[in-house]
Amino acid sequence: MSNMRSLVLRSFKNLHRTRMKVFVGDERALTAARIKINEAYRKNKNVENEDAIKEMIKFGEDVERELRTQVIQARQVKPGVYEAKITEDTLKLENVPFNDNAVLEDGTRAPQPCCQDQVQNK
Amino acid sequence: MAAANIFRSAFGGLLRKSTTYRTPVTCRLSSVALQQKIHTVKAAVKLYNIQSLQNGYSTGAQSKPSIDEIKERVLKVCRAYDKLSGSQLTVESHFMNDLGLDSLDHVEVIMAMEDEFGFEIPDADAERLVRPKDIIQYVADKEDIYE
Repeated sequence: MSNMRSLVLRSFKNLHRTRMKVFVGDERALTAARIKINEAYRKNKNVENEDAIKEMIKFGEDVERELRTQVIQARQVKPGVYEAKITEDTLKLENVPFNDNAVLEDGTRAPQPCCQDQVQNK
Repeated sequence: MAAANIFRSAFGGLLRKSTTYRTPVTCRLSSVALQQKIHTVKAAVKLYNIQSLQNGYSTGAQSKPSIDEIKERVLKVCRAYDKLSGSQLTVESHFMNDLGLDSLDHVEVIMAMEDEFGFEIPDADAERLVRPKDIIQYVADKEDIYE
């Protein structure tokens, strides 16, 4: 049980640490996130069921990862231009240029205009 | 120092056996000179440390905070925590029993301390720090400060 308790407290702490990193300098978001985290943990402080607690720790970790990898700060540097702060944890996917004629992995091709359309277009 | 002496005598003996007398002598002279230089530097550093301690001035990163300074900073951080701002806070008050904090609040206070003093407090240690007094002692131990 005390092991469970320390796990909960650790996830609580990690969540707050991530909050401070992700929203650094943004007082409003920092406060809002802090209140939200504290509310959520307090709301469930009387849960006794071990499996339920494990489930919630897992959820807390997921939220932490989501914040760390998916949330970025952006600031408008001039109208219409934003500067985003990408961190080393931010999830970065490979950019693949769009190819009209790409052959998908399962061998199918993107829908081609049918011959009737081609005739009409001419 | 003892190890260096042993090494030097062994080295000197070896040289004496294998080569002329000249080389070991010059070799020794330079090493003695070097040693003397190190001595002066050491003495200067010692003197500097004593002076800065006596003056009590903060000389940048090298100087250590005093116990009173730590106490002040710990209490300042405690007061900055919203649930403690209006309470009767002393170094002896117990966060849970006297001040009515729960374990989540306690974690937040410890985190604020980590930010204030710039080092991490492991969970196992944090658990024991239930009074401002404990935190002051912990930080002082960490920074090698004794009353």
